[in-house]
Amino acid sequence: MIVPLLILWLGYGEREATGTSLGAIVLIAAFGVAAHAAYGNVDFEKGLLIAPTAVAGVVAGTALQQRVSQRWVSAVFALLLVCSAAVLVF
Amino acid sequence: MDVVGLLAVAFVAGMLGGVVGVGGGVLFVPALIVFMELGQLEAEATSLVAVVAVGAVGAWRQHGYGNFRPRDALVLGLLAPVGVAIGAVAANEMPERALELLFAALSLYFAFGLARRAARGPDSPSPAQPRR
Repeated sequence: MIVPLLILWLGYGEREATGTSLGAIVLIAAFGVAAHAAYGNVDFEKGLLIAPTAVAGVVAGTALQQRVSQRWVSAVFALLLVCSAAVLVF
Repeated sequence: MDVVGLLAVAFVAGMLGGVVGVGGGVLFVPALIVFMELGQLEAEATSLVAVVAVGAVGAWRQHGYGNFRPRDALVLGLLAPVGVAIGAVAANEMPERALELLFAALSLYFAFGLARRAARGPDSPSPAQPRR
């Protein structure tokens, strides 16, 4: 919900909204890892197994994003939100 | 084979994260459940490890492209867990179905705003806005 909030309520451009959202997510997820690790629910081996490939993906994704129109980013995000709403309702 | 599937989904999730600015957990979690047979809670907890990495490298790349506001990210990152805590308390007071429908409505509201924006017309190619 961070990206639409930044774009629609705070007047960010799409690229800035997604970049800033990624930074905020680091903190949010780090708090989450710490809390879940305290209960022994984090499988660090598997987490670290997917991390490098996921990081390669994000490098490719951010590079791709610079080459497309910002409207396209909004359109993809709108589609994702519709999908997630559908999952919630059905 | 399971590892190949897991890593393929991890790459796609990272790429989606880079394009739309999410952590990728929406794909990591089902992939960990399907390919690694983790339970829901363990999958969510474990996916956050990859989300930290995706967020950090993604924000660093976007910083290089001039699309990152560190101060705003810090404020959001510190405030969001407070909001989540308040939401968790409120959620316990509500029936689960009402909560799902509320979130679906919020998602559609944002989707409508973004779609209208996307349909409005070509934007300027780069966000050359002044830094704060």
